[in-house]
Formats: sequence, structure tokens, C-alpha cells
Amino acid sequence: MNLLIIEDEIDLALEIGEFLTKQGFIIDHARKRVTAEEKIFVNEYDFILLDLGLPDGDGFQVLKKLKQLNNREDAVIILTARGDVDDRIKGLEEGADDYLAKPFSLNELLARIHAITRRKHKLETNDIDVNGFKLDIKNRMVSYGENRINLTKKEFEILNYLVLNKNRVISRVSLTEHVWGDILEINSDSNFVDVHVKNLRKKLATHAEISWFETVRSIGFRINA
Amino acid sequence: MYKLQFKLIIYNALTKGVIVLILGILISVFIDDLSKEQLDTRLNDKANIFIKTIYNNEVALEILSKKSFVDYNILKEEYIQIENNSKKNGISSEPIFSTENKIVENKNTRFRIIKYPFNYNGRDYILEIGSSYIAADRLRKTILLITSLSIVIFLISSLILDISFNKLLFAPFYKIIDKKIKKVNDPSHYDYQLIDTTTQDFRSLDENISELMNKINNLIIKEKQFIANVSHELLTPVSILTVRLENILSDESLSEIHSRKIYDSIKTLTRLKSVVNSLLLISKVENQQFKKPDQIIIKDLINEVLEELEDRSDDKELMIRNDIQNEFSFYGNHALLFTLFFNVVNNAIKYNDLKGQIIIKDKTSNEFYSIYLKDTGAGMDKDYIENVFNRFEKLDESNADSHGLGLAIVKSIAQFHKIDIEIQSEIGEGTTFIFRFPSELIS
Repeated sequence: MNLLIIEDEIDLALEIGEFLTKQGFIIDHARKRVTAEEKIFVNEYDFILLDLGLPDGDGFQVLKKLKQLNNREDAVIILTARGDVDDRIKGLEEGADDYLAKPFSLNELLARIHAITRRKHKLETNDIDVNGFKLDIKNRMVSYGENRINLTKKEFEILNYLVLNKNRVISRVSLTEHVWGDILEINSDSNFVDVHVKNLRKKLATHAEISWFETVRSIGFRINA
Repeated sequence: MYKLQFKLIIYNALTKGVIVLILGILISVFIDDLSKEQLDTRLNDKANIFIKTIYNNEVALEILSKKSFVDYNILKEEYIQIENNSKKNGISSEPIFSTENKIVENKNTRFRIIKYPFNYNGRDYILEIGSSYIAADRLRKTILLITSLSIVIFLISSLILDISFNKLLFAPFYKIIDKKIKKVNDPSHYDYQLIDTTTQDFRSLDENISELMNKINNLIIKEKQFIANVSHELLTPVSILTVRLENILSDESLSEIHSRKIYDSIKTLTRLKSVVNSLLLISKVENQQFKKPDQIIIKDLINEVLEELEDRSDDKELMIRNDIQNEFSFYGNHALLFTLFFNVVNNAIKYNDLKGQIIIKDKTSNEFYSIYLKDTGAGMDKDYIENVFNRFEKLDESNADSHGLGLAIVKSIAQFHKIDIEIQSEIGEGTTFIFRFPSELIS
């Protein structure tokens, strides 16, 4: 999958690029609105990461240009550190697929990209299989064989996030932030997520052996699949 | 505290009352002298006329031939008496005035009397004419009545005039306060149109307030700009560092000790991000940068929060009772109000005892709809409650994870929605948060 990063902060763009390259993406960069618009005009991307505050204009202008082009399916994720309340609404109204406030976790970004991919390819109806456990994303349910496993909303969210980021260590911080969202003070209370994971593992373990659900000491968790 | 209008009216009424009172006292004093003088003049005139007529009057001669003569008029208000004055009583040939009490038909009546000596056919007589004070008293009473009546009428009418004039006079002033200043939540919505007035003081007040609002508005715009810049300038480097550290952390060859350090750095950055975001949120709420587009049903909102925190309360084995009875709803910002109750309920869980309780109930009165959120946690002392909403105030000093902004956020969101918060707490007993929603919110 190819992905265009429109971001004027070179360091940030390079780090995101490095991370996504490892995940198998082909990365392109644009630092200005003009170059971004040129690249969008010439190439078709699976994903565009769009920063709103560009040195020569507003990211929304780029979004508008993209939407004027015919037969384009490029998924747009807006990345912004602008504090504006209405940006999120405006972004989604103008046709962006998702919105991430900076600073964000790379795992969160990857999870969003996966979620959009599933949505675009109508994979939502398909269950995800994790070592015999089936995740029904649409109905937010997990089952093992014929047995449905009763998970709380948060437990499902955790499992889903770890599965979306499978084979990679997900830190408690990243997990907490994903599950609880932004701003809340609970974010700084990151060890609490252990309680959820403990309960989740207990529930899963009653059905099968779950050594694939690893606790990576002092950092976080990893699901190997 | 009294209204200036009221004070002016009272002052006017008092000064007028005092002046009129002094006038009344003066009149009642002078009226006595006045009536006496009038009586005296009348008596003197009568005596003169009598004496003039006596010389060519046969009846008079007959009267004078008697030793003495007394005659009262029908109403017994006046009498005339002639006496021989052979003894030369009262040598003076001038008339003498006096006031005497006489019993007339068993009634003690006060008379003003003139004693008028005269000579007729070589003999001395004294003519005595008396006039009772009844007529004069009647006159005096009438005058006093009229005077006091006109005083009362004067006072009342001037009071009414004062009130209506003051009302008219102060109308622009109250217009500035009620229609302009009270209505302002956000200086950017201030009505800069000057009000109609011919009073220079009010015009100047109006102009100065407008100018002040303008200054405040500019400051707020600058602050909003500043906040936007700060958020960008602070959050961008945090974002670069977070992403970079995450990249390093994902390197499998990293030693355990180093990955732990990197992870701790990410935690620290997350904390920094949380503080910056919390401060930004408070600023934005305080600058009215949020809208209130959502219909909020409190009961549902609280259930939503409880569900979100379910795992957390289960972990502490808390008994949570949601006893909200009313379907109270109003327009607000759902995301903000969710944050508000989330923070409060989260605290109630966090500081509760194991197997403790949280009880949520509501109450309706004429002025308020109230939500009571009671926990059975550690409680807080009075000094602490006073500061609990201050920024960076920590409920538990040993809790390094807390940044002390949770309740500051709660307060700013509550203020934004005009919700009043009261905290009742006793150490060891638990804490009750009371949220009062003014009834004007329901619409």
C-alpha cells in the first residue's frame, strides 16, 4: 500500500515514514501544500496523512483539491496539533476518513489505518481469527468455537486494538490512550489497564491456552498471531 | 444595599417633610396670635361703634340709667356689659384686653374681653365686650386642617412625581445593566450600540463600558490565538518525540533496561501531553470556544459514564446505585459533560474503599434540579474542599500519576453550563458532590 505523508515537520514525517515502512507501506512525502497537491494530482494513494497547518496554506485546501478529482478512493487521515474544536467536525464533513490529534501514538495510527482498510474493503462482516478465537468486529463479540465469551466493552476494545497491532509490543500508555481516549486524567494512571488485561486474559484462558497473549514486562502487551 | 433611586426618593421625601413640618409648626404658633389680634380688632371696633351709637340712642340711655347691664347673644358666644365706674377702677382711660374664663350656662368658656372706659353725661362707665374663643378656635382648626391636608397632598404628589421622574431618569442606567452587561457571557457578543439617553453620566458610563468590553474582547482574541499557538508549538515537539521513542521501542534488539527507560520516557511525554491538553481544554471552555448543540438527558449521560467505568468499579467491588428518577434534559455539550461526570465518578471510584458504595440520586425544587453523587471514600477536610477545584491541586500527594487538573476541568465545564457544584464531605465518611442545574436550563 502506498501512503503520502503531508507534514511540514520533517522529523515527525520521517519517524512516521520509518515506522510505516517497517509495516510494509511505500511512503511518499510532501512538506508543502503545493507539492502535496501536485503529488495527489499525479499519483493515486491508498492513504494520505494530512497535517492541517502547512507553511503555504491550510490542509483543508489540499483535501478540497483531492475531493475535486474523479474516481479517487484515497483514504485521508487528518493529523493536527491545532487546538481548534471544530477541526474534527470540519475535517470529517469535508470527506476525511479519520482524524488524529497530535501527539498520537504510532500504534493508534496503524490501528486507524487498518480499521479504514477493513471498512473500505467491506471486511467488517468477516470475523478475525486469532489462534482460534473469533473477533466479530461489527457486533463487538468474541467467541471460541461455539462458545461466546462475555467481554466488557473495554475488554473487547483492548483485544481488538492488540489484534490490529498484532506481533508488535503495545505499551500500556498507548493501550490506555486508545481505550480511554484523550485528555482524561485517567491517562496518567496507566497501570489501571493491567486490571482490564488481567480480566480479559482470565476470560480467554478458560477456553484455550493463550501463551500467544504475551505480557512484555514493564512495557506492555503483545499478541502473536 | 438600596437602589440609588430609592435613596434619592427617601432623601427628597425626608427633606420636604422636614421643611413642611417646620412650616406647620410656625403656622400653628402664629395662628394663635393671629386669631387673638383679629379678635381684639373686632372687639375694639365693636366697642367704638357701640359708644358712637350710645349717644343718640334712647335704648342706650335706658341701659345706662341702670346700674349695670349684661346681655348675651343667642349662641352665648358674645356678651356686652356696661357698669358704672364711680369707684374709678382702672384709672386708665385706654381700653384693656384680657382673656378670662366665664361660666355660661354651666359651661366654662374662654372669652377675650375688652374693657373700654367711657364718660357719659359726666358719669364714668366701663363697657365690657366679650367674645368667646369658640369661633376663633373653629377658624384655627379649619386653617390647621387645610394646612395639614395640603401638606399631605403635597408630600404624596411630590413622592409620586419623584418616583416616576426617578424611574424615567434611571431608565437608561438600568437598560445598560440589564440589557447589555447582564446579558454578556462572551465579550465578543456584547451589544456596542449606545443606548438613548440625555444624561451625560449614563452616556459616559455606556461608552466606557463599551470601550472596556472592546479591550477585554481583544485580550480574549489574543488569548485564543495564544492558546492555538501554544498547543501547536508544544504538542508538535511532543509528537515528534513520542513517535521517535515508539520507533526505538519497536526495535527488538533493544536491551530490556533500555526499553524500560524508553517506555518511561514515553510515559513522561504522555503525562506532559495530558497536562497540556487539560490546560488547553480548560482555556477553551473558559473562552467559550465550545457550543451547546446536544440535548442531554442526565440520566442517560450518567449511565453512559457508569458503563464506561464499569470495569474500574467492579475491580474495587463497589456497589453503585443509580437512583435518578427524573427525565431531566437540557441543551449542552455532550463531550464536555461526559468528561465532567467521568472525572467525578472516576474520583469517587478511585478514592473509595474496597467494597464501598456510590449512590447517585436526584431532587427537583422550584429553582434547581439537583444531582447528588455520594461515595463512601476517604473524605476531605474543609480546607481541602476550598482548594479542590484549583489547578494542580492533588487529592493525594503521594499519587504521582495525578496531575491535579481533573477537578479544575470539572469546574470549568460546570461553569460553562451554569451548573453549580457543592461538596459536602467528612473525613472517613465519604464525599457528596451536589450538582445544581438552574431551572432556566430546561427549555
